[in-house]
Amino acid sequence: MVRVVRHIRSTAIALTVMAVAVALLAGASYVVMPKNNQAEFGQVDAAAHGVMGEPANSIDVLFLGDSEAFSSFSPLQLWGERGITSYTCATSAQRLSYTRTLLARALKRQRPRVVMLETDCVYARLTLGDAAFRLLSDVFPIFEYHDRWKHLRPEDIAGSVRQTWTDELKGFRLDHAMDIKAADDSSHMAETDKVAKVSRLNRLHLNEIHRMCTEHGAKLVLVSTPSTVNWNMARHRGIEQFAREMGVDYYDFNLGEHEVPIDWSCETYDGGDHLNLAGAKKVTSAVGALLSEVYDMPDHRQDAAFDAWNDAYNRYQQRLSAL
Amino acid sequence: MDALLDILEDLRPGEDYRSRTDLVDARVLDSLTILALVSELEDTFDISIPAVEIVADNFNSLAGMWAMVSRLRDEDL
Amino acid sequence: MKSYISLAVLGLVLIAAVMLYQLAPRRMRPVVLLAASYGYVWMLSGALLTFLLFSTASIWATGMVLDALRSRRAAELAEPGASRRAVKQRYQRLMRCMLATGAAANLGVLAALKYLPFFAGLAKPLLAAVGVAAPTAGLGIGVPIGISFYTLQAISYLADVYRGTISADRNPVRLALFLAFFPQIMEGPIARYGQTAARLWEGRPVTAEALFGGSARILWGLAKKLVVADRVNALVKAVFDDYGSYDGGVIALAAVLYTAQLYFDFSGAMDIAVGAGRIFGVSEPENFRQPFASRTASEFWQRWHVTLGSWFRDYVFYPVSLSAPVKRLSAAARRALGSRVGPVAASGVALACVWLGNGLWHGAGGQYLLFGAYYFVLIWTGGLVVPLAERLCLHMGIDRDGRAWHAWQHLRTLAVIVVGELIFRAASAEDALSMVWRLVTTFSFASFADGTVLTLGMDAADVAVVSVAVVVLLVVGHLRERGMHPLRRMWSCPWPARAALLLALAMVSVVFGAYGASYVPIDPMYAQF
Repeated sequence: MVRVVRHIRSTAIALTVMAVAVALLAGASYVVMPKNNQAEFGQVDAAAHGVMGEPANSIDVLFLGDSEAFSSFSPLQLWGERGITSYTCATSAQRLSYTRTLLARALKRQRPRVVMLETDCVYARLTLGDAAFRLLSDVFPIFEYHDRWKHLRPEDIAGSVRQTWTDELKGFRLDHAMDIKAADDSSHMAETDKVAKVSRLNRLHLNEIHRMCTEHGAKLVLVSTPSTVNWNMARHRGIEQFAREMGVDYYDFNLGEHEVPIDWSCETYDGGDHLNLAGAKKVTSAVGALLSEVYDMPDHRQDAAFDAWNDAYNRYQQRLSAL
Repeated sequence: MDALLDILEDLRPGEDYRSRTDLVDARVLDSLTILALVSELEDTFDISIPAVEIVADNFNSLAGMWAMVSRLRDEDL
Repeated sequence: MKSYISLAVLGLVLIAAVMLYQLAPRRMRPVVLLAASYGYVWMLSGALLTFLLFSTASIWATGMVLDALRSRRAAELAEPGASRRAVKQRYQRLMRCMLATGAAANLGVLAALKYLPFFAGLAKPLLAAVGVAAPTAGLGIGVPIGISFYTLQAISYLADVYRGTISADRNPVRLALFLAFFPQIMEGPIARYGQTAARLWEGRPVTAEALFGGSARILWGLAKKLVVADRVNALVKAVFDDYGSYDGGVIALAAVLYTAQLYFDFSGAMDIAVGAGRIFGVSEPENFRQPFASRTASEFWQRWHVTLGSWFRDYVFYPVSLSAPVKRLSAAARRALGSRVGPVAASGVALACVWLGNGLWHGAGGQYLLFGAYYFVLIWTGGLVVPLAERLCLHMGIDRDGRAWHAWQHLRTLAVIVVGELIFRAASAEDALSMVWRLVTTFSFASFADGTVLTLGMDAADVAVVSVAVVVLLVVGHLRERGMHPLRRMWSCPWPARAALLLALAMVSVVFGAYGASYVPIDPMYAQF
């Protein structure tokens, strides 16, 4: 009897301690959470998180992916050409675990009709450790933002978490817009029988992303932007197969009926890895055509509720002309 | 036992060898001193001290050392 | 993420092992531990586990043969009319042969896996003279986790059986567990059979006190690693990778920070190992004893990586020193140089063996040999000049037992240690020498004065954290030197206080740990062994 009581007591103590631990983690997480989604407030990947500052239910297309995405998809160009509202939630070397997190965050206030995932990150090596750490950080942001103890301010303890900021370029990047470094495209998309397999962990995440899209009424679409360095026939086959299995549409801009004709001597800034502005313009136009014709994307240019987009577009044009 | 004490006093004077039991643990006798001690003991008592005997138990105290020396003398006979 | 993986795997294995261990019947508990250990090695090294199994099998078999030889010798000696001397000599030769075979088998595997390219590179000129091309790549197999550590444990077991300190273990499972016990296999401590094997086999239940003490020790070590060791790594790596761009002042800073990093990382890992062992009721030997309180280089090696030092002392230094040829040399030296200097001079032979081994053991590279040579010269000449130094001090009226002299010894030893660690961390022997040269010739405080030191990977906040950690360590170290153990006294406090300590330690690691995007994790340094 005494042993049972002792066991109950030990278990009760253990549970109490665990509860206190959870409370501490939650409390610490609250304190270090950036109190606005801007870099000045400590927000990591602010440009991608700018989507959370957009007015609710105003984004029709969400672009996800790594540096291929933020150097190829210009939401403001899409607005100017076709009145489509979109946002590029892309980060360098994005892993699918982070893609899932960004999607979840974007879907809190947005109901996009199409979620376009650039396929380079499908072949990015995702380790179990990365995925576990991402999961842990999503539950307890203290793990992601713990370094903010160096920059804490009084409002971090008392203030609430808001998202009011959005990126000027809607997630697009102009850092290397005018740079040119020619690429060697002689063996680009050379024929091969090989099929690049998608890792099991990545498959898991992709299926989860698909599920989230479907749940929120969005269509998941896979796209491959032109790149001589990152894309090849084996990967094309791999995604093609996977898209068939998953039941989603796949558009490869590197070849075939959807090929975007890139002049590799002047439309890439790093020898074929990423496109510069000239290349991005072509890809964005192609995406726009796809979205309007195949996915019936509405044109909001006459809608007064989206006036802010016109202002943003004007500023964008000014910025481009100043380059 | 007195011969032992003399050797110790000679090698490292000023320590209280009679009552201390931590000569190795407290690093009063370091490895070089122990080697010198071993060669003196071997000469004085006509024994052979193999490496296996160089453990703290045998050298931590005067009594321990004497026990080892006696045992080795008896074994050799 | 690599360096965190082994920690994370250790954590998972530990939690699983504790639960299964507690639930298992007493006799199955060592099996649980062995399974956990092999599982741990498998997860980190895969099929390379076979080398560990080979090692275990080889020492089990050799031990049995040694014991059989010993009983046969006893039987023969008991026979009437036996020539004691002849019998002893014959069996000594046989047993030595067995010992050598067993040790060579294990060392051979270690050499082949870890040192082949290095030795081949060293022998290149010789091989070229004979017309043989030196193999540049190794066997291409990789190195199983902890091989350098468990090989030393294996050899110590064989040596102890040979000497009769212990009798051979007939139980292969117990011997396997002694060699593979997962808290200590990756980075030590290097335990002796007599220290851990019996306890491991007892299968004592996990008590609440052991769980608390062990967990506290683990969290303490984890904090040391995450908060300090990982934090200074960015700067250390930046400077060591490109030392030509920095002046002597910055190089000195990097060397000091590296010494701190190595201490916090390695002693933190030892805290985790000892703490994990403690949970299962196993007392692992300590590997650090306030090393920076040393007054001589010799003392440093009795306080730093203690189990390695004692391994070399017991299995290399004493056997070599007491071998017939060295004894003869020692006697001759005593006649020629007097009874103070003579033995010290002769000890040079054994010391050279120790430091060659110590240097090589740390890695297959010239900088490790240089590291060994550095300490060999310092310790040997240090011993040789003692009589001279004593006379000098007497002459100058310096009190060698006074606090001023001790303070000088502390500072001088710290400098010696830092230079030694600079050599250790350098990418090669040439780099080590260049860095020391640069340190001395271009030394200046300019980078400190104009603030560039804060741009190399550590900002002011990082410096503050490291400083606080160093102060805490100094206080704890001071208490431990005085024989006080703050952690043990905590056990008598009520449970909320104990829980608070554990939670506080954990939160320190979570908040102040140098992990995540803005930090450069350390390549597990002692885990390349």
